[in-house]
Amino acid sequence: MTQQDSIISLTHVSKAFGDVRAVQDISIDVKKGELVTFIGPSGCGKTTLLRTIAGFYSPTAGEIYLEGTRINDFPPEKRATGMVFQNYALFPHMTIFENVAYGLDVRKETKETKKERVNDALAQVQLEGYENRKPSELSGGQQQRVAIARCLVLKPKVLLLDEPLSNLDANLRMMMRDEIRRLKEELDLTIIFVTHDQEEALSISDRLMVLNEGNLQQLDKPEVIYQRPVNEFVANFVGHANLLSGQVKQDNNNSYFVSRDIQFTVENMNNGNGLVLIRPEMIHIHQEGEVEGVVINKVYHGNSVRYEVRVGDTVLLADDYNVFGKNLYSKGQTIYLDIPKQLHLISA
Amino acid sequence: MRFKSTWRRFWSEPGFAVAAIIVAALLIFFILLPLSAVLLRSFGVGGDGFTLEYYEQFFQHSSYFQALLNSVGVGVVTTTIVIFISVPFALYVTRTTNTLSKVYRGLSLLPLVAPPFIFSLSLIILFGRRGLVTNYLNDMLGVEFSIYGFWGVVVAQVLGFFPVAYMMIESTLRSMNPSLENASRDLGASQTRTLFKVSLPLASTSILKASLIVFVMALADFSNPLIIGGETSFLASDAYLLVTGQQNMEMAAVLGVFLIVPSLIVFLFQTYFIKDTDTTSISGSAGTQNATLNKGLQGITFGISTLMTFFIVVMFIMVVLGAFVQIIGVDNTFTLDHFSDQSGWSFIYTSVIVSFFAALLAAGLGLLQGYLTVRKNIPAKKFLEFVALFGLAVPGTVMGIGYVLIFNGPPFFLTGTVLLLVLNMAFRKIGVGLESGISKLQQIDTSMEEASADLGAKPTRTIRKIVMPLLSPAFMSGFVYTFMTAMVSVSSVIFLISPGTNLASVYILNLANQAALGRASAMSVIMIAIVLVCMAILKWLERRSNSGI
Repeated sequence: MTQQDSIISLTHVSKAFGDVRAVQDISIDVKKGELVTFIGPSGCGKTTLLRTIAGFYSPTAGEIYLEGTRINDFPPEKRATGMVFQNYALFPHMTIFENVAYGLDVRKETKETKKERVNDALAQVQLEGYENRKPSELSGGQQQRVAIARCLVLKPKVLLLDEPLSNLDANLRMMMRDEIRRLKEELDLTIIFVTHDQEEALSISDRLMVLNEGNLQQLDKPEVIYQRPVNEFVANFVGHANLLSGQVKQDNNNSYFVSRDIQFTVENMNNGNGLVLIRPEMIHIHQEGEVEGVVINKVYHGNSVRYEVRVGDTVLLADDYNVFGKNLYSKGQTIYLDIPKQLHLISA
Repeated sequence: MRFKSTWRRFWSEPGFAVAAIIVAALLIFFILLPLSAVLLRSFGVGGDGFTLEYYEQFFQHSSYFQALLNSVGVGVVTTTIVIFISVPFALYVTRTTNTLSKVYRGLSLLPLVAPPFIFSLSLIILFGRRGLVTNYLNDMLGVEFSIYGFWGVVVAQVLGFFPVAYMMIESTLRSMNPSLENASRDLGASQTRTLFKVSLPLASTSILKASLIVFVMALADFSNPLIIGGETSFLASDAYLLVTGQQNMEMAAVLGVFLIVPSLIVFLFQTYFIKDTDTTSISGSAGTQNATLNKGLQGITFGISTLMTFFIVVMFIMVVLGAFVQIIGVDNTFTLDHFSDQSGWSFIYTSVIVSFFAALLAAGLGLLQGYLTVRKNIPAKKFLEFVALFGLAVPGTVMGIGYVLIFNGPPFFLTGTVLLLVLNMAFRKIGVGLESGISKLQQIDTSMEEASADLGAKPTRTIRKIVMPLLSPAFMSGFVYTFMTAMVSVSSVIFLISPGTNLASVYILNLANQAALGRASAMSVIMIAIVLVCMAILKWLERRSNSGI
């Protein structure tokens, strides 16, 4: 893909504040209609990167293109980006209508166009009839919708969402997540979404960019990030992970993965050293099998049970999803683990 | 390198850069310059040349040195008494459910709306040479009694400065998270133990701050000593008499320095050394109320609060009575004569005009400076903030002497003009607008302005449509506060008035000094009425803007 087909294109973008390098050498092309999530722990640079795209910071190095135009030095008001702030930043002294119409006023639209487009935008976020309320009279979820409508009304080339769901309660968060997906599909929006919530990121994104300490770790589809993380950080940050350090060995016709305490058969894996990734849900617990362990703790989650199983000096997490009506294993009980034969090896 | 880039960033928004330079120049010219002039003049610089002679005189001449001792003395005594009344009063209001407590609260704040010397006036009506109580004691018991002097000043100050300390302590006790006291009780501490081990220690910072402020106010008090100080000398009033009576600017400047030093120390101390204990924003919802005091403590706090409220109310009644009768205690027939003082009304008119423009200037410039301080990268902004806030802390008398030194002669010749009065009042209060602007801007998330820019608005539009409307409550409160205080202020402007441009507050002070108690009372009543109307407008505006946001 070249810069020309992408809406937003970053090439080797870095941003430093004094001596602090917040973001280093990030390159990404975001396609039309794509939802890309920047994810990472707090302080990883994801918000800095988003604000650099919005124009609140100018990059220390690298280029930012919006539909092929270099926008490095454009102030925010000159960029066709629309940002939804974490705290929504609705203007408290204006009505919902005035808030949504704010950007249209700047463009000196006629009264009729303004009215029509504000109503359209409010309809898109299902807030018809709230025009004359003040932001303080709306719930958190509704304020969020207004913030989105306020951007949508200007038909931005890209919508930038800065942890938009973090101030909502769990149920509302799920709803808004679906809502943002729906808007994206209906209006063919290009969206960059910032979050530190890996579950949210996996479920909402077309692609994820995982950042740590200002550096890009991995940029790929959610399933690739989850199943084939490139390094230990990504494996641990997205989802829960058992990471075993060891090597794949050949013995007659069989291959084995050998770590300090555990050894088991594998298939179709190249020889080598590294970390093998075993997600807790990949392990099945049986009465007999290849790997013997002792249950040292269990946590009941309703739809599953998470066991901590000690094998030698290594502790593995194993999720048992098939528990309805069954007796649970108890602490101290000896059990056997069934580990899949094809695993992802993070090379050392 | 860093310096260069700071400057480049500074000039990247030329509008703000020019505004910053103007604000800085004004602050330096109207606050720093007059204060420096006082300091230099105390060493003879600007007069007959550098000398330490005036400091020598100060320490040798017993009456000057005595003035310092007296001023520090009333400061200590007044502060101690005020704190020992304010704390129980605040406890009574915040930790009992008695409806009377709300009434007490309202009445206790009355002194704020009156000229600072109102209690001296009523003390003279009651205890002066021909006072009501004095006459009674003399006639009935043959006791000679005089309120004039050290203790008269203390009583007037305690009554007058009490609300300042009370308000600070009350707001801390009120906003304290109830779960702290609840936790203490839950862990087995009695209520009294909780009070002394949790509540009061948590309020200690604000009690200390209140003490320091009252101490400086009492030390630098000008009008009470002038009216009721009698033969006892005090720093501020002596400095005034030195300027007006003997034209001894050097000695007045020395006294001024002794007024600046404690206020500077206290200002530095509370700005840089006192860390606020955060008692409100402890996480977790604070849905509960603080428990009410037990019977014993309720009794004690109720007693003290009642006594204090009683004194305040009596004093105010005396002034109102004094305004509406011929000669209080001598001829108690109703009259409106005291209100038909032609020159008095014209001075009130001048006061309103001067205070209005001073308030406009102070609130406007203060907010502008606040905006530049919080949102823009202005070189030396900490220093400019310091100057503005110090202007607020410097005793008015010192500022008055400084203005005389700078603006009396060439090239300005501004003394006696309305313009100089406006400037003096405005720059003494610019810190109020600055502080309210800063605190408001810190509440307004930057994302508001960023959202505006993101939606396509240029900086000027963002200022006009977002920043200014959101700051308007801060502007209004800064404006009304400055107006109220300017209306009743005396200590600084008294140096700058001329017969043509007299101000109401100064006029009342002179009337009180000439024992024209009826007219002084009547003028005071008018002033109180005007200030009360202002407060009502402020409350109304606050309510309107709260419902809007």
